[in-house]
This record gives sequence, C-alpha cells and structure tokens, in this order.
Amino acid sequence: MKRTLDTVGLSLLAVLLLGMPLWMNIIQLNVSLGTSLLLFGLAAASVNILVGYTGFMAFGNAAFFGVGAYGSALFTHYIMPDNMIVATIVGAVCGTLSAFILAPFLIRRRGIYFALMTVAFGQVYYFIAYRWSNVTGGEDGFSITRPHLFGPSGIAMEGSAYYYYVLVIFVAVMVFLWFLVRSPFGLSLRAISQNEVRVRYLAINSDRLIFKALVISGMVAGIAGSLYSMSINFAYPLLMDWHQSGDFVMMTILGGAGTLWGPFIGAIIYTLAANVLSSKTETWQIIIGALFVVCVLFFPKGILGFLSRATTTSEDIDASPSVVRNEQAIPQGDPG
Amino acid sequence: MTAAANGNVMLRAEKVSLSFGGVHAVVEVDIDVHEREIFAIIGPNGAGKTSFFNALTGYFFPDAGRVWFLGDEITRMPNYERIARGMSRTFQTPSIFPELTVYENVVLGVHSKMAVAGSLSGLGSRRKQADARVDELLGFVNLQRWKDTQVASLSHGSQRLVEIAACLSVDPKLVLLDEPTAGLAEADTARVMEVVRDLRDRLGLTVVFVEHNMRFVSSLADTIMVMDRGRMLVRGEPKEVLNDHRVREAYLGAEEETADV
Repeated sequence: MKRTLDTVGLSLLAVLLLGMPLWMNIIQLNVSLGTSLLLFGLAAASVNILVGYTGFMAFGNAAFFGVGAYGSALFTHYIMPDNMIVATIVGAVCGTLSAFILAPFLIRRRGIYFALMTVAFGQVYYFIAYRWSNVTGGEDGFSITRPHLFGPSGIAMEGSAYYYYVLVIFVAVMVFLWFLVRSPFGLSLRAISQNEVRVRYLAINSDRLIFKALVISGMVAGIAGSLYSMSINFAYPLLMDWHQSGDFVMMTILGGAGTLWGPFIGAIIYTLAANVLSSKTETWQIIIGALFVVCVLFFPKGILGFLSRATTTSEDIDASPSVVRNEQAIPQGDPG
Repeated sequence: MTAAANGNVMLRAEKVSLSFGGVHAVVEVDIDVHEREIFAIIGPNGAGKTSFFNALTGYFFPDAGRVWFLGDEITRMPNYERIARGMSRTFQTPSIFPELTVYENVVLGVHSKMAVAGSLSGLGSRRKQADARVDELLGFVNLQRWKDTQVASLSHGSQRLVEIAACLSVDPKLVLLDEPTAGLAEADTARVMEVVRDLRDRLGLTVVFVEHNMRFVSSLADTIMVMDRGRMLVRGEPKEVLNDHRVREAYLGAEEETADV
C-alpha cells in the first residue's frame, strides 16, 4: 500500500516539476520562483544530511550555500564570464572546500557545542564577504550576467531553460542522496544519530564519517548556492547569514528531517508562504513561526513524516509485528 | 575448568585507577584474562566494576595504570581501534539502535569488519556475504524471525540478544559483557546464560563479564574477581572465592539466601 502511494507521489511530483514553467505561467507566477523552490530544497537537503540523518544540529549551512554562490559569481565575474557548467562546478567545489576547512574543528563537538560552532564559523564566512568589499562588493554584494550554458556561443539560459538546467541538477543530487541514504555510509549515519557510542564500539570511527557528512553537506549546499546566485544574478553577504541557516533548518524540520523528500516539501511550504504572506502582511514571519511551533509539537517527524505515518495502513502494521513478547522472541532453552 | 586458564594472556591490566572528581571508582586493580577463559567480575553496587570495564574498553582512559590486549599496550587507544583489534563489549542498558531493524543493528558491524561502513557505493557482490554473516549471527542468538523488526519494539531480553549479536558482528576474540542478565526474567536469563557459554564453547571466544546473578556466575565462570569500593578484594576459582569470608562480608552477606554456593 505504502509502496503504491510512494510511486503515485513520485509520479505526481515528476509531472508537477516537469510542467512547472507551464502551470506557473498559467497561475501568473514567475518561473524563477520554481527555480528557487528547487534550490532551497537542495539547501534544506544539505542540512538534512546532518540534522535528519546524522542527528547533528547544523546552523551554519548558509555559509556553504553562500560560499557556493560567491564562488560561482566571482568566477563568472573575474575569470570566465560565460560558462554556466564550469561556474556551477566551481560553486560546488567552493562549497565543498568551505565545509572541508571547517570540518576538522567541528567533528569533535557534540550537541549544543556543535550547533554553536556551526553558527560561529558560518558568521566568520559572512563577515569575510561583508568586509572584503573590494572583491565581494561588501554589504551591497555584486551582480553578474547569467552565463550561457557552454560559453558565449552556447545556449542562452533564460527563464524556463535555466529552470530545466536547475531541475536536472536537482534530480541528479536527489538521486545521489537516495543512494547515499541506502549505502552503508547512510546506515552508519543513521546509526550515529541514534547511538554514537555503539557505532564506535563497532570499530567505526564516527568522527571520520561526520567529517564526510559535513563535506557532502557542504557540496550540496554549494551547488544550491551556486545555482541560486546565477538564478538571481547576484551574490550578497546575507546569503551566508545565520538567519538564512535557520531558515534552511526550519524548512528541513517543517517538511520532515530524516526523510528524503521532506526538506523539499518544507522548502516549498516555507518559500511559498514567505512569498504569498509577505505581500499581504509585514508580520508574515509570525505566521511561519507559529506553523513551525505547531509542526514541532504535533508532527515531530515533519509534514512528510506525518503523512507517511497516516498513509501506513493497518495492513502494513500487521505485516511487521510491533510488539514482540519474551515468550516468542526467546525460545525456552535448557538453562544448562 | 581451570585448564582454560592456561592459555596465553589475552587481556592484562596493571594497577588501573580511575576517579571522577574526588571519587576513587577504581583503585590499582590488576587483571589477567587468558584465552578461552570465562572471567567474572562481581561486587556490590558501586564497587567500581563498570568503571573498571570502561577503563579496559576505552570508554574512559584510566588515570593511572596500563592495559594490554594481545600483547600490545592499549591504555590510551581510542575505543574504535580496540574493537578493530578484536575486543567487543555490551553495556548495562543494551546499547543498540532502537529505530533500526534487527538486521541493520547487526549488519553495521559486518560492514565495519568489511571496511565498508563509510562506503557510498553499495556492496555489490559482497552484499550476499554480509547478509549470510548477519543470518549466521542472528541464528546464534535465535533471532532470525525478527530480522526486519524495529529493535525498539522487541522485549528487553531480545534487545540484549541483539546487542550480543551486534557485539559479535565485528568478529571479536574477547567479549566483555556488562551485566548481561540485568533486568531479565528467569527464562531470558537462562537463554542469555546459554549464549554466553556458547561464546566460549562454540565460538572459542574469551569472555569477561560483570554480573550480580550468583547462579549465573558460579555455573559459568572459570575465574571470579570480587571488587569492593574500587579495589580488588579477592580473585580465584568460584568455589574458593565464594567461600572466602571477606567476600561474604563485603558482598554475599546480603545475598546469601539466593547465592548458589
């Protein structure tokens, strides 16, 4: 039953995403909003690797996102003005490196100390972008012209063309994450989130796996940031700010931390709410905040977690015994 | 039974001390565990048994003293490296992954042993090998039926067995069990006893365990060490130890009725 629902859900999602430029046009929304949904979805997915699967509160992923954004923008501005593919790769590499540099300082911290360190280091990146104004444009940021796909004679990437470029990368990253979650590495991460001591007592150096998770998270955030700066043709320090990191965490938890699609759903709800509500009222963040509180109180597994539980039928439950009694689990052997 | 104690020394600790703030949890305790020996550590609550265990397994590093395993000094070696060298342990409250299935709980150690715990690619052809190993381990503790069940929904006794299977998944030579029967019903205790005996008799492992259940200790152990207030009180074969007047004073006095001596 659940499997059928998953297939239906995924097919529906595929149709919605493929047709987005079309139906967004019909409801008079700009396709760039669709692009933002995908990119915030990726950014939230990068948070999800740490928060959802590994159980580490990461409040600094906007830094990796921002470094990816600046990486692509600076590269496009100063080095190779007209090649989107290379600029994307550069952004991804910058995001990866930014996490790689921080990871050694973070991997020995746990709990609240880890969370605070991610905020602190994230702000370091923010202030670098903010202060290094002759390169980064300081507080105002700097604008770029969106590059063509493969250099000046390549395809122009306006409107839907850019959306589909982002969609391809979005799908590729989601497929990668799907494999990651199912790999031995993904299982080890989930195990760390539940009981790190036991992981270490299975001869697994958890620090090393957390390092890897951080770097992969940085890479995914870097890709998202890179594509985001090319989407808005602009890079500015607030992309790295801890508020932005908080938004990514909120999206992840809202949609369902520790589920593959939850962060994306959270990103959609958050971004649409922000877009729609902010045009109606100045206090839109109060409404989002209230939604978040309701979610944490009543759906601790996020909206997707709640839905997937609600769609699990009694048939599914019967198939796996939920309570196993001593007498069944332990044969009454001879005490010897 | 003492014949088992004639093998090579597998685990040795010398004058191990461990304190927390001003509390001396372990004071200059020595231990020699031989290959294929079943070695029990007993003592009243707060005697320092678990602290000593923690010092042996690298949960805490001792403040003083040294520990050797298979001839190499491991006093300050990180816990995961000790496990990689062939040591494994359980905890007083089963240390498992409650939201993972029984299979996943056990396969992690198999992955670790195959050096793929951090691998992003699938196991490919080695998956069968891993699955077979998990089946074998679950067979040992008789939990095959619950392979796909989430561990949190199993009984306490079964959770202990899952922990033992996970503990064995890294192919240890030495297994340290911290109160394997704590909180278990009579029937479960019997089953765990059987499993512990099998660890040595069927798998040829060396076992060190902390235990309160005297029937369990006297019927299984080759050697018993009694701890009291952080120090070793007496050590020897079950009969002589359990009849030692110091032990009776320190520990068995209160338990004489239940002790099977």
